Formats: sequence, structure tokens, C-alpha cells
Amino acid sequence: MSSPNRSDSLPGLPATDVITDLDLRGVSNAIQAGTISSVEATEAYLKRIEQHDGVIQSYVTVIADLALEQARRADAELARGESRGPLHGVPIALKDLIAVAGVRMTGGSQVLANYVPTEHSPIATKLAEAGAILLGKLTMHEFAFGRSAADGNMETGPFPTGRNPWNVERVTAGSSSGSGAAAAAGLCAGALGSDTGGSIRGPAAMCGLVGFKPTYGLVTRRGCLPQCWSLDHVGPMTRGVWDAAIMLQAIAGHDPGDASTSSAHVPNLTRNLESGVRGMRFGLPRRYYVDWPGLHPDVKAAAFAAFAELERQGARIVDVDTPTLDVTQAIWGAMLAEMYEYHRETIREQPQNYRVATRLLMMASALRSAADLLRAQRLRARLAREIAEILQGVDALIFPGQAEPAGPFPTDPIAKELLRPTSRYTNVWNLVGLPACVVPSGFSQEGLPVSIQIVGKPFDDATVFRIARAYERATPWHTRRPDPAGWKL
Amino acid sequence: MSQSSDVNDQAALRAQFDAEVLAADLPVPDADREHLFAMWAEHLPMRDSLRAASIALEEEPSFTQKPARLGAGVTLPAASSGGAL
Repeated sequence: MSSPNRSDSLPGLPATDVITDLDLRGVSNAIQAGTISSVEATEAYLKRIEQHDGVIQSYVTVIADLALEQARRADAELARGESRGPLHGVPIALKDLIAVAGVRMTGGSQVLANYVPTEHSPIATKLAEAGAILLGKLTMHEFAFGRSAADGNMETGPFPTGRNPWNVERVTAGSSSGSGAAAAAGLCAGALGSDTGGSIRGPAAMCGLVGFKPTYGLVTRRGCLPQCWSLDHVGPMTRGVWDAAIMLQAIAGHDPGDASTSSAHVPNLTRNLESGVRGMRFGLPRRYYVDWPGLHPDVKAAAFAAFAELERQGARIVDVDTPTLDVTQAIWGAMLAEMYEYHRETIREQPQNYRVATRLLMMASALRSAADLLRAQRLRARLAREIAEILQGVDALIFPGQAEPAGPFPTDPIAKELLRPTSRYTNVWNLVGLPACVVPSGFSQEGLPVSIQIVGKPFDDATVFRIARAYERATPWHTRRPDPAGWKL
Repeated sequence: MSQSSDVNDQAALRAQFDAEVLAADLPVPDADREHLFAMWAEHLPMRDSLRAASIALEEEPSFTQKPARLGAGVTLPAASSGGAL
């Protein structure tokens, strides 16, 4: 594991003031200050995409002309003294399951290779209203549940899932794979992903990003392709904590068209961002997460160093535990019946248009009874109560953000298991709908990013950001960039 | 375990799989059948752990967060001290 005190020896390169090296905050500040125009920023990202995305494979669709048109409009508004806020003129990109009117939306599948939505999702509308510039749509694991794949065709499908900018022979994890790759490679200033069992937090952790799964009900999913309705969340993947908070602020809020969204007022997510963690108390599910034998030693060592840093800042960490954690993987597996229900007709009519791994996973999800699903729902309700009780005694939970650093692409296209054991680090928090954030905590001995995870109380997303920021500002991990010299095959 | 019991176990497992595929009305392409069987069999212990989980009659299949106490739902006569519903 790399030492936090020797940033000169860390993997990758130090961030420069080149626009595509900046975090979203840097890009936003530069545009607001007029040191760069939105058109110049957009052109810089488009050029970098053209240069490098043949290897990184993060964009399934680039909308260069539309992006430049948006950027010209953003610059004109700024010239008139009209700013829409921190996302004004900032180039971003979306996972290819969030609908944008007139732009192809594939869901990472050949099934939808030619599908073009006619309406914006509310998320796309909100981002446009906030002044963000949309560069394009990002690759993903097929229907948010397939497996990593380096092969494919961006025009016809099947679609590749993106390569890890820290080592292009490694996966980004999924399913928001292109979102992780693009944000880490500087092919956009920030991205949105979706998370049903870890699909924001997994790729963010593997790519050295902040990944934030908001509280269930904070962000609408209308206009987004579902995986499992009761587990799906949409959230940001960015280089910095402030960046993620700003993106989430822009898309949060009640949607009358999505009954799962809360009508409660959305608080200012950056107001207390710099308030620190002094006096806070964090719960560590040590038995379930730290003592699990599948935890990679480099991730473990980095997590302990991170916990020590938070204690140095005045937080206290106590062990917590609850028995229902031990059946959470079985609960989550049963909830996949929701996924099969969505695909039931399509997979009968055109099984050949799913990748074989996805098709097997879909069919395996069908093989469970109604009683299994109800048992899972009962245990899920119990888990929620147990976690709520734990959270009465602490401000947040903290633990390693992933089991292991990014691995190689699978060589066998046949999926072997319905559920990977390593998903325990993320999917528990989809079951209970709590805000969960991964933040970089260093690098493995192989130079791959590792992370910690923070889970907060329902609709207390702001406190999760605050804790993540307290750690981020004391460490150098977010200032490192993957070296483009390595983006060769 | 003897070789014949292994064969019997495997046959029983295969019969269970075939029955579940039939019950789910799942059209499985021939090329996928063996792979699906392997994935299904691999997942069985996890499914069994779900079925074996101890759970109180009162625990409802609700995602709402209720106070963690017994008696939040309906208590069946057999589980109570004899009172009526």
C-alpha cells in the first residue's frame, strides 16, 4: 500500500491545470471565472475522447455537435451575466440507461441498440436546467447486470464495457463501467451512474473516484431503465467530494411521476462540507467486513490507515454488528426476481440479443418461488430495523469500500455465479436504501485504487459528504491521475 | 459417500432443476441448459440459507422501518398464549 505522506511516489501522475486534469470543481471555477469558456472546455474533452476512447471504451455515443451547441448557449448566458450555478457550462456524461430525448439509449444491450427515446428523463432535464453540457452516453454492463467485456462494437452491439484507466488490462467493475472509466480518464468532468447492488460504488472504487449512492427516494428513476425497482438508485461519480455533492444537488428532489421519491425538502449538500468530523462517532461492522477472509490485504491496510486518519481528526470508531447481515446476500439474490420480471417477455422473444452471460443471469433470476421473494422481503424489513437501531448510536457507518482492487477481464463469456461474494461490500446498502459513498483511500501494491465506504442515516446524505470530505482533504489520493501513456493495447 | 448415492443426488438435483424450470415456465435454449443448471446449483446453498433463516411470525414483508419489537403485526393463535386474534 502506498503511504499518504509520500505523494511523489504514488501511482499515476499529479494533477496539472490542464482542463481535463481538473476535478469538476476546478472546471466549474475556471468557467465561472472566465479563464476558460464552456466551448473551450467542451472541445478539450471531445478531443481527449477522440484521442483515447478507442482504448478506454467509455462512450457508446458521443454527441459532439449537440454538446458544442449547448456550450455556446452556456457561454452566451455567462456573457450576459446569467449563471445557472456551479454546473453551468461544465461537460458531463450519463450512463446509457438515463433517457435523453433524441439520443440513442442502449442500456448496454443489443436489444436496444437502435432505441432512441423521445423524451428527456427528469434527470436529463434537471441537468440541462442547471446548465450542464452533455458530452454523450457511457458504456455499461448489459442492462446493469451483465459481465465485463472488452469485445464488442459501439455501433451495433454487443457493447464493450470500458477499460480501467489505471490499467487498461483491468476491468472497471460494473455496472456503471463507462462512467467510472470516463470520469477517471478525464473524458468528462463528472458522470452519473446507477446503483442496484454497487454499480456506482464498485466502478468508482476501482477507478479512484468518489461514488455516491443517495438515499432511496432522493433522486427520481423515471426515464431510466430499471434493473430492480426497489433497489435502483441514480447518483454521481466524480474526482472529488464537492463535485459529487454538486451533481447530486442538481438531480435530487421530488418527482410526481416517481412514487418512490420523497417530497421532503432537499437540504443544501455542500453547506457543511468543510465542518469536519470532530466529535463524531462511527460504527465499524468489523466482523462482516474487516474480518471477512475475502478482503484483500491492501484494501484492508488502506482502510485501517483511513480509520486512523479520521480518529486523528477527532472522530471515534466503535465496532457494530447485527445478525441479519449474514443473510443479506441471499436476500439480495432473491430480489433479482424484479429484474427477471422486467425482462420476461423480451428474453423469450429475442434471447439471442442478450450476451450469453446476461441471459444466464436473467434466467437464473427466474428460478425462485414467490415464497422465497416474500421471505427475502421479510428479512429485508428486519435488516432495515436492525440497521436503524445501530444508527441511533452512531453518526455513520464506515468500512472498506470494496473487497479487492480491479481484476482482469473474464476470459470465459459464460457467467458462473449469480452473485459474487465480493458484492457484500455494496449491495447490503441497496436493501436498506441508505446513502452510501466510496472515497479513495490509496492504492494497492500494483498501483490500483482502493477505497473506504461511508453509510449514513436516511436522507442525511449531507453528513456522508461531510465525512468523505474530511477524509479527502487530509489525503492526496484524489490529486493523482492515471497516466495516458499507459492507454495502449 | 458412495458413488451410487452421488449419482442419486445428482439425479435428484437434476430433477429438481427441471421441475423448477417447468414451474417458472422458462424457455431455456438448449445451448444454455447445462450452464444454467450449473449456475442454479451453485446458488442453491445461498437460497437454502434464505429458507433456513429464523423469522418470527410477526415479521411482515414490508420495507417500511418499524420499531424493532415483537407484536408489531398479527399474532397467530398458535404462537400466542391462547388469546383470540
